[in-house]
Amino acid sequence: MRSFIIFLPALMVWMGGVAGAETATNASVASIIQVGEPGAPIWTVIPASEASGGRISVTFTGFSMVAVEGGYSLQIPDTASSAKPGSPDVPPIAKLIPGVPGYRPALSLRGSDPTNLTGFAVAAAVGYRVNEPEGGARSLKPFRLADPILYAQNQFWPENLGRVEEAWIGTQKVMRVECFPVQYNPVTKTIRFFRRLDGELTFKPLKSAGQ
Amino acid sequence: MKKTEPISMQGEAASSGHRITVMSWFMGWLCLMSFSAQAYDYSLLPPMNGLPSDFAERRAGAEVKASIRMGVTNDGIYRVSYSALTNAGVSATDLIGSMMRLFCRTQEIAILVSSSNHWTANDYLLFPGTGFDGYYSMTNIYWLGFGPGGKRIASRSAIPIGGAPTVTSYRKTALHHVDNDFRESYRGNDETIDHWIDLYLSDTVPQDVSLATDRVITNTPAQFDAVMLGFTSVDAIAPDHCTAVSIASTPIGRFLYDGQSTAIISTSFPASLLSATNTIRFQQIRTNGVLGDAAYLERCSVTYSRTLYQEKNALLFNGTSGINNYLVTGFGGSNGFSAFDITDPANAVGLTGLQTTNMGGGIYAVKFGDTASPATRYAVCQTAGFSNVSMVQRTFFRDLASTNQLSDYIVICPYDFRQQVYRLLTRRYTQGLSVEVAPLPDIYNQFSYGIADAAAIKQFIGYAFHHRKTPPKYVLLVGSGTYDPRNNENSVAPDIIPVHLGGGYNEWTALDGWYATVQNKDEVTDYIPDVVIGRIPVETTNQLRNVIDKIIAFETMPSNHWWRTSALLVSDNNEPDLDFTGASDYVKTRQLDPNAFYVDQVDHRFPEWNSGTIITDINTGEFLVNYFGHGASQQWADKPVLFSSNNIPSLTNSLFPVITMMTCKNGAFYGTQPTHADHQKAKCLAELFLEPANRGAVICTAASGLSTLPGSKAFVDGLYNAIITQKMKRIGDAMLPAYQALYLGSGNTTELLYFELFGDPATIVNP
Repeated sequence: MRSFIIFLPALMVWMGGVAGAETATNASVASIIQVGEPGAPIWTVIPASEASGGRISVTFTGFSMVAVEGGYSLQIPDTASSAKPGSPDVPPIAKLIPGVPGYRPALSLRGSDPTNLTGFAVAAAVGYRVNEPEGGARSLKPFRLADPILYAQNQFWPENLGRVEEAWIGTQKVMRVECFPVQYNPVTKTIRFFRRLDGELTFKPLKSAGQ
Repeated sequence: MKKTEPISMQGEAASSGHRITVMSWFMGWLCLMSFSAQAYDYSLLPPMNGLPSDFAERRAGAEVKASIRMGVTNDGIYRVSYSALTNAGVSATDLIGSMMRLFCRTQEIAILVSSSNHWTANDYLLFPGTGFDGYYSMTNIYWLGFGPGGKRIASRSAIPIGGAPTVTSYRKTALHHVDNDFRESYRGNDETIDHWIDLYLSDTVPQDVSLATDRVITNTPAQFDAVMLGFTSVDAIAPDHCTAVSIASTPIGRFLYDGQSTAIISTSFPASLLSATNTIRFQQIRTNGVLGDAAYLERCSVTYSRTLYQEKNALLFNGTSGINNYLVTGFGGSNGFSAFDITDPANAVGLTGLQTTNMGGGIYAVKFGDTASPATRYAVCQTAGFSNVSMVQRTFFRDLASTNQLSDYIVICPYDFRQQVYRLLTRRYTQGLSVEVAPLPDIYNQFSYGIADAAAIKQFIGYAFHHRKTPPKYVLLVGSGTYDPRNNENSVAPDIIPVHLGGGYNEWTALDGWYATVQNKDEVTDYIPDVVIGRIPVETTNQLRNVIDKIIAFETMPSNHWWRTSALLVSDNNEPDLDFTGASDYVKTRQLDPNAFYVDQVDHRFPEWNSGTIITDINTGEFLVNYFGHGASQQWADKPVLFSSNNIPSLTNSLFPVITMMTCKNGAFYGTQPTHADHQKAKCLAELFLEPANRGAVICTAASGLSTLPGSKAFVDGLYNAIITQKMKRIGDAMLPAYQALYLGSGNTTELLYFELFGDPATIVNP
């Protein structure tokens, strides 16, 4: 059981543990809240191969909650990833690792050391609409519009803690491993934060493998 | 344009959730129709999904090394004479009728030769030519080669059939299809339309289209068809569009459709309304609850029964089902007739036993009998009705399809730029790269059957990537391009290296990265370029000389010159969810070590937040310049304007920067005018920075379309890291980590296809 510190402007809150998960409640709105000590995630990747698969673990030290229209945007430093527009604005963390030609990867992740924070509204992630003023130049205008279906579901978003997709960069195949250490239940207004994610990459041969 | 068939109605209906119907009422009857149609015709080249087998030599007549290139722009019976061939440089000794073979795309075309022997001056060959309606060209290309076993036009008897009815008319379609205006933001990601429209229709002012018809048979109804694109959209009302159409001031129907859909509207009307020149009037009628109704006319046509009467001494027409005689009249003489069944143009059949009839008044008719289906197509010609090919060229092939070629560095350019391009090639060769120049016409000849099409470039790059022993590292496109390759707008900007247009961020835009995404094995689809591609978007040899002069000057600067440690970071005013200064600080903190770099920042936190400061800083000497913020094709920011095309003349710098313009459309190089009130049509800042002699920039990266801040931030962070920390030698080497960073941050975003590199990707940034 860990204690957690929420840094509010001129306010520091210690959070005590409750039944295996740490919880805190704060209905006040601050411009920036720091949960833990936000820093760059620490990745440990055991290289993948078709025979043995690969192992991944990611450690997180905290995240920031930045007040925006509609609630908070949750952010982790040194990450440029952005969440799906309209979904709760929780930070995805991504890393590129070598892929395995001829095989299709699958990722399973488990979270450990969770902390629950309740009473916080997480805003919808940014989407962009084309802004075309009369006589002016077109541009993209960011907006936050919650997906009503997602925000009506009494479950944590995203459902999965991670996913993997593949790409080719020239003759090199790469995998983009995306993790979600922070989840959000929009009905209960609960943020769940995992300090550590562990998981496996497994591989299935494609039909063309070995040809 | 690219399409040859009606646009998919069912597809639109399925995707939009609307049931698309078109209703027409006229003179008391109601017609309710639903449509199925086909999508655009992209059939010139097969799909390129990234498998090695997708990329192959696409050369017509390769089996006989066909090398005489001929252009065909309209359907017709074409005649190629002895003199046309010898004037093009074909040796008379090669002209042996029995050895001639003709090809178009993947097919051999049956021909008729006047003599199987050595030709003499009066000899010729005939073939049914088919026009082409591509986005990049309206010229179809036929290839003549020499070898035994060529396909010949067969013949069958068409002697008039006793007792069979005589057909004296056919259905003709008069088409109005003019591409007047390019609408890049209308259905910006929709690949089923070409984004060109004929007319904008509103509910305030009617619009007229003129269409000619002749020799109309009035006792058979005519048919009106049009392809409409709904522009306005009211979610609560369906259908929310109504287009009223009249011909000769007589209403022929009102047509309902919904939202931003494609609607094929159609109705019959009395052919008696038709005259030599017809005015078809369109007007949107506002539906109750709709504040304004606007739509586009994409094209329209009138199909009517017309007398079988020659047009320019020839007539192409579809037959009537069953056993019939056909009487084609209006010819001015009794001799020199020929007729063909051209249903399959590659395997035309000559019709024999034609009967000539004097109709009186110096008019003659041809009569023949045949068994036909509605799809049977005939061509009847008098000698003067044969068409001439638009050009005959003898072509010398480079072996671009050689798998033994080693080329780290490929330059694709027009022939006119080769002299300047050789300066770069020589330089790269002496630096240790294997080099190759691939003139664009040669790429067309070997990778798109000679027909101009941007896809040929991707075919060639993909072929080199997959089939050569080592894939190319850098590809340089030399020459600008436009969204208007067929010059619908009568613009001055030449289309030198074609632009592939596709869906960006809700906008139809240039995607040079598409040329370089050639590797998608294992059923993986991604937009990351597999070869680094750059474009020098110049229009003239002088502009190209300027750019190459600057590249050489840039590369020959001492490696320890102070300017190499100088950077300028410019940013726009912040807005909610657009922290431009934060992005600048992010890059500065992560990549520009204050102990190694001198960084100028120009943003709202500093008093000198203006274009004068930017100009002064660039003139003083900056190695890296970056801008985060709003922008348009020719400017940075608008409140205030931080830099624009108007500031380019003030640049006097002799030290040339690498400029990353992380804003919208600074890389929209595909406009059609040097300057234009509409930014989208004018030259972009990337072009304006590169073109000037001895000043401006040596390399720019910029988006050709609309860009996002997270993507821009990740891209620049990756690029700067590759240049500064990883000290990658060439800008092209640094672009791949930049694309990786963009992919890492944003996933498989189309920004990967239009964050463009302007300049030579082999430019050395770390000597």
